[in-house]
Amino acid sequence: MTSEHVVEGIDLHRDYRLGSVVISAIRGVTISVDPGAFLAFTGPSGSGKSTLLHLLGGIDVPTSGVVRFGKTDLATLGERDRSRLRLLNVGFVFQRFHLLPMLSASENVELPMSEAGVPRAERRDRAAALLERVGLADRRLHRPGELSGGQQQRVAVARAIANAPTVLFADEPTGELDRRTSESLVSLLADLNADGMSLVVATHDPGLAEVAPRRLEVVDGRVRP
Amino acid sequence: MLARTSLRELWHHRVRTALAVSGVAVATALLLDMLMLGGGIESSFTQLLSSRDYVVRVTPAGTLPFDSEATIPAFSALADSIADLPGVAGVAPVLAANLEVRGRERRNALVLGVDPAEQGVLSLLEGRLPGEGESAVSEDLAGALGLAMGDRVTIALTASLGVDRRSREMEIVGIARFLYGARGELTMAVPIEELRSLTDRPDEAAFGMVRIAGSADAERIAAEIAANLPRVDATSVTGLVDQAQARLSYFRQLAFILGSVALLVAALLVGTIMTVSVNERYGAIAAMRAIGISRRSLVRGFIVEGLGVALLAATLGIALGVATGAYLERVLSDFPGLPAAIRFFVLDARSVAATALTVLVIGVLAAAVPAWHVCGKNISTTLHREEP
Repeated sequence: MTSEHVVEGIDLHRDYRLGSVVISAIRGVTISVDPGAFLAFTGPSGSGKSTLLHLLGGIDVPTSGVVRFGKTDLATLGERDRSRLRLLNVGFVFQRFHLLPMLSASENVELPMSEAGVPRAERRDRAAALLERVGLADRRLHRPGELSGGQQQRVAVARAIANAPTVLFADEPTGELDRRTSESLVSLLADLNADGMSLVVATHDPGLAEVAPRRLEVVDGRVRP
Repeated sequence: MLARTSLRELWHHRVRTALAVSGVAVATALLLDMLMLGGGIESSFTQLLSSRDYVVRVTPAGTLPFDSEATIPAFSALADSIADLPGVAGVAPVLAANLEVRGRERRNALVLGVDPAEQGVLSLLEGRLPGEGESAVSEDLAGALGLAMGDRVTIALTASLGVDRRSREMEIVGIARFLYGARGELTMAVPIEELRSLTDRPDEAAFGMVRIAGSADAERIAAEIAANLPRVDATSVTGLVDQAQARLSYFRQLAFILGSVALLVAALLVGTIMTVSVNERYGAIAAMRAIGISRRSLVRGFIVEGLGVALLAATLGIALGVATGAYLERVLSDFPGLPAAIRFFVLDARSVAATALTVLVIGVLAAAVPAWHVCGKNISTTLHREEP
């Protein structure tokens, strides 16, 4: 592997301790994501898909192994720097959207830009453009409670790409959506990938997995092609 | 932006917010009242004693002014000795007696014998200080007997003070406010020689008030009087305040205990509301941390929320505290025998600032502690728990 990868994990292990029992969620996974790649982790519940996504996205730390983001070994970063790296270089989409209910769609999209120090006028313009891109230009002032599940997930996608990350991680992004809205969201993700954004998803949804050129099955903490 | 969402959360849960704010406001009011009570008596007592330049009191050994009926005999010689001390500008003798005052009606009144040329117990509202055959009366006495300037009254010994009910006629030449008089107390001032003669107590004084020169040290003068003249006690205003503090320590203890309870209640209320608020957003916090929102930014947002509750509560609580303090002041000011100038609940900027600051600090801490704790949880573990 080389530093040309967007992100790579080398011999990753992640153990959780529950009392005296040690559970190995990830067991020796080595994986890389190239620029512009679209990678789908599939596999049964509890197989380690989300854990692997969290390790590669820098929101969790492996028990052993190395996660490298570009040339940066995440183990060399403190929590504050990892947080900054996620803010500027990584996008996350969750199954349950996790939009802030008290903020409008536009404000939710602006939030990561605000944290990154983007001036108010600029982030407002960018949020409007992003919401237009995900097909919600007319809903920008609506709060999450006033949007459907599919619309909320689109806002979450717009928020995830607000700071133009190099890679977007999505954990069961269609898990809470019906078939029609799932298809619409899959199409949106495919478009983002077509525009050059690297994409890593963990999914049960065959419709989403099928559009990913590279699919890896995660079983018992190990990756199978 | 997170601050905005925090304030909107407060508005969204407005019933909960209103209940929390009300509870903290009541605790704030109690805290302010206790601070006012704790310092109020002391400050008003100090203000009362320091209202004139007479900052040292000379009393019969072992007593305080008006504390007993003991008097200092041969006061003139004593006053001359005191006046010779460096830094002493004057000595005012005061004699007191309960006498019957006869106008259109008869009432018992406290009659003070003062030296018109050197006195520190009254301030004139109208007229002049009394000379021979003259008197100044309190507004309450004038009202009770229907007296006006120029009227003549008779003062006479009451049965308890003498078998021979000697009397003397006095013309009213002044209406005065008696600095140490109790609310509603009927008081009159006459020249001290008139009172000495009437009560057959020649050259006696109940106590003396020592006026000191501008830069002189009252403590030193009091110590010198006490050392040189063993038949009297000499106490500076500071010493009197200390003695009063010792006697009123009950109030301070009460204020401290109730103030601490109020503080605890406020902390628990804001702490509870903020812990509930933080825990409700457990998953959202983990998601925000995952997308790169720093722990510090998230905690700052919650601090705004805690501050919002505390600010509203402090504003309402201070208004409530001022109102209840004024009400309690009216109740306590009827306490018998207390000088009218003594106040229990004295509103001052320091008490208000201390109350507001304490409540705001509580708001910050009550928000910051649970928020910092939750924001520090493992993001991945929390998301695993929150996501299906």
